[in-house]
Amino acid sequence: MNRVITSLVIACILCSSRTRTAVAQSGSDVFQQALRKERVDGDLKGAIALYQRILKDYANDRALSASVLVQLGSAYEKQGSTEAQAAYQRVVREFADQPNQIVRAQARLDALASTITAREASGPTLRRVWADAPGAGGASADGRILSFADRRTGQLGVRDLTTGETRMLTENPPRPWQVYALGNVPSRDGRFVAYSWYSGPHPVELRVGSTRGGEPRVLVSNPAIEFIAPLDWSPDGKQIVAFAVRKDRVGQIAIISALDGSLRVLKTFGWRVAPGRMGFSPDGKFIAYNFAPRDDANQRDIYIIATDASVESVFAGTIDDEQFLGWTPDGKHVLYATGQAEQRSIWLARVEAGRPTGDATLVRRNAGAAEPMGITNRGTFLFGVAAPSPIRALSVALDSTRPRSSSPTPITLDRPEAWAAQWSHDGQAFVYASSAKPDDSRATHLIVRTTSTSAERVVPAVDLAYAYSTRWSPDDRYLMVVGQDKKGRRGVFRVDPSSGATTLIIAAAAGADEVFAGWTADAKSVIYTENVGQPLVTGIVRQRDLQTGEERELMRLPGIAIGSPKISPDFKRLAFLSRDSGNSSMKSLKVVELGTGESSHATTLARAGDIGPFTWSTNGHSLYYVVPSDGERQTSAESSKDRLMRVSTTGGDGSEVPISIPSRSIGIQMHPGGDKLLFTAHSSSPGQRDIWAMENFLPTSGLPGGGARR
Amino acid sequence: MRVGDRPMRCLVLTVLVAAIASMPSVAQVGERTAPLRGLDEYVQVPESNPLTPAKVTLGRRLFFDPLLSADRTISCASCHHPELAFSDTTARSRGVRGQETTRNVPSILNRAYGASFFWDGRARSLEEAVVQPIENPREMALPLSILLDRLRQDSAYRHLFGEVFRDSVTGPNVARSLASYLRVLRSGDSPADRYMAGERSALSVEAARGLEVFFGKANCVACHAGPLFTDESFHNTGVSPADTGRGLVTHRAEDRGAFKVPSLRNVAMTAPYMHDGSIATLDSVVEFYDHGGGLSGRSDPELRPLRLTNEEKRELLAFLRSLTASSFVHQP
Repeated sequence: MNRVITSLVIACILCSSRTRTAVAQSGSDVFQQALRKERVDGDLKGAIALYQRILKDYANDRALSASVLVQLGSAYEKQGSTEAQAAYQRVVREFADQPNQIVRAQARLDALASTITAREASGPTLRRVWADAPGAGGASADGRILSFADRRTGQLGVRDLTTGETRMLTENPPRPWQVYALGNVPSRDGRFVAYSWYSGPHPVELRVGSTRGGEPRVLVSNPAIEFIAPLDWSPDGKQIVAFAVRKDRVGQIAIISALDGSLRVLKTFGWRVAPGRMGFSPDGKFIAYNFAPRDDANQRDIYIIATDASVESVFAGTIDDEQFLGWTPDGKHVLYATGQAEQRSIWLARVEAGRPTGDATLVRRNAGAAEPMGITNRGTFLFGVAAPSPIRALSVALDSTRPRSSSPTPITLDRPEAWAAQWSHDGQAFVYASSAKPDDSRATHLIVRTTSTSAERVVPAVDLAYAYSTRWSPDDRYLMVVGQDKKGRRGVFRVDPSSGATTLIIAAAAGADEVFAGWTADAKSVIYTENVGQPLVTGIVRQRDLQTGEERELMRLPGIAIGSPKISPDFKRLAFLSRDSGNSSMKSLKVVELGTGESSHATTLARAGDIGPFTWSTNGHSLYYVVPSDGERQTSAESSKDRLMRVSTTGGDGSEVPISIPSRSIGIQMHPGGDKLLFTAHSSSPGQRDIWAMENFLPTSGLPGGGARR
Repeated sequence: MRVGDRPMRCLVLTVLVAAIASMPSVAQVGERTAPLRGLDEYVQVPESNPLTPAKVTLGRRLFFDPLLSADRTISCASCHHPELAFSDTTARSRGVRGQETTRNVPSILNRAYGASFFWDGRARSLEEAVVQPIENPREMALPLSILLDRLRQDSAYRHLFGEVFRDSVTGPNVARSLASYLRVLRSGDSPADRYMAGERSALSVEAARGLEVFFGKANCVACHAGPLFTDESFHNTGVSPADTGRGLVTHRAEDRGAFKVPSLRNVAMTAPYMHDGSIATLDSVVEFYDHGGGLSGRSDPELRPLRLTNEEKRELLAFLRSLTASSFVHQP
């Protein structure tokens, strides 16, 4: 019995001491906790919860309550929430005995009112926040930290817009673009950045690093995932939404834990182009994303899917191309763009429970193309605008009387960008590849241009995601396109330029982009190459009958890897590039006679540190080839230092052709007339961009100024 | 005592209920079920047929009930055997009166993710697909109107339909119920899925090499891609030119003899293979494609001899077997 009484007493003492401890934490103590949470931890949500708890638990302390309400209003303002006004108004309305707090609250109400008036009077405003940025990735929620992958070097960096400091988080590798960052986005609190990291033969990794620098963590490195790009962080910082491309080329929305890298697939999209921009709603319950609903659609729609996979809806799905730009800070609207390029307009549409409600409101017309980076807590839309850096087609006359200072002549085309360009054998037509959409290089069009009239038409229904090179058949009836279809299959495709019918003729291994050598004289067969064996590579030349599918091996070249093969105009020889075995720093231009079978011997015509694109002369007696100035990616807009060389197939040293050629060329072809060369080349601009901020577009009680309805 | 007699009906009902109750339970629909590795979390459910536990239960009951056939001998499960990944072991199944069906029974697992249904893709939704075998004279041979009469005469079904649907026993409601049950039949988390999720010990060395063959030299992913290992496209692989296949649906010459690419999940359990069941074993399927497909008809021009070595064939088979899930979620 004594033991029982003793236990009861001890229990009572413990209970009362716990109670005393609870009482000991005053409202002021909790207020200090809340202030620390807001200002030190940056945890606005947690701070707001504490402010509200104080208002509930310590309502009798009017001085404290008034102070807390003012602070609560300030926190709501940082979130961009209209609740800020309500908090300040409550101070003014209910706390007449707290004059100091009334003054503070009224001052904020006046400031908010003038902001609203200015907004309604002037409409959205634009200002450039960073000129000549090396890249554009994402923005932190407060808009202070921008992440980017430097387009010149591929390295990851962050910019502090407040201080103007730029900090690189990864270092240049020994060789440019040996390893590099791709998609990148900072966490909402600006403390971390998630990014894709390419490092050669390994799968692309998803990494997370501190914006202060230091060793990153690898979240995802999975051979079954060929590519992964982070697009947004969840508001609580615990998850990252990314689009992932599997080994079989299907695209997926993946949600990755920022803590342990565990990945769950929310949705798979089949063979189509992977989903585009995505973003978590401010409450973390939904993800809005871009996706083209059909394989042949140039128009993207916007979808919203619940993060618990319970529901999905089309947010914006019209015949226009709709681009998701971001969620407003209160999660009640989605900002998006419609239309193409310069005619693009920006709209704001209300959303509830993941579904659009009501009409959309026009924010800005003719906004131009933008790379969205995010909408900040204060309702600033940050975006990048890129200087055009297209691949162009240029013509250079083979006229040594032209002064070298004369520039190559750009060929004016309907599209701003052109690659894989080829004249037909009769010179009457010109084919080139271009992006289906200006800001999406993953869907490719083939365009045929009639040289006499300059009229262009798109080859219909070509089922290719990308075209590396094109070649007309000897009778100009078909095209052979080395590329990749939307199923991710690489190889050589025969395309009917009239109907667009596309057939895979030769499947190539991953990485083997240059395998098509040319047609036989009767156009009934094609010749292609394959490199087999490790470490000693053997180049194999094969011929395939297009009718029967039968193949025969023409020759084997032990120790010689064949690259960029091209059949001569007389169909009797094969020229190709090869990196010397045992000396990978030197490249050779070689020629071999076809039809000599096992006794084939490749003759080296030229050797250099690097040899660029080459082409046969029309009579097949010589080869023209480009020697780049430094063999590496150029990083500044300098005048061309690349040289055009000519070498006879009968031997002898090559000689420079004294004409000015474009720098950074990736393709060259002799015109059938033999008097000019067609080059495809990168523009000299390295692709800088400016970062802009659009403000004053969020709705208040009504519509933004000048709001048209959609 | 005939089935029509009341005591017998009660007995049959009791046996049915007991049989269903004794089976592993269906996970509760409407709750967020654990994601299956390898499968999407998001399952599209039409707004006209929201998924509910009661509807799934009703659909499951109908699936196993021979009441849905003309002579009351055949249920859906008579051809779609749950223990065989919801397929069967014969080239062509037997419907009522022993009639042979025209094509091989496909598995109906993971059809919630399907874009089209049947070998020729003639149905665009599960709701459209599920009633066709009931009325097919070679399969269950029961006109829908007669089925509805039977269901309305059955007090248990009247009650069940009334609980789920405001308008009780109707044709669309039968379709909705069956479709809802099929929608929860999912199979994932196979060894291959675990391996592709990063669990390196999930596959044997041989099967792991087979994965590389599948994605590489054999290029099976040209058609068997994505989480279901099918892109649901239609191809003529040179099998059985007599069956027009997709061509009957689209009336396009280029679709003659083309059939839907089947999913390879649980493929080791669904022999025989092809739309006509003409290939008996998985080994023979690999040989078929290694030779460049069938020689009859206008086979797909993308089919070509693969020139796989014997070792590569063994590895590929090992990988295909690793697509078998150890258990089916929502199994009856």
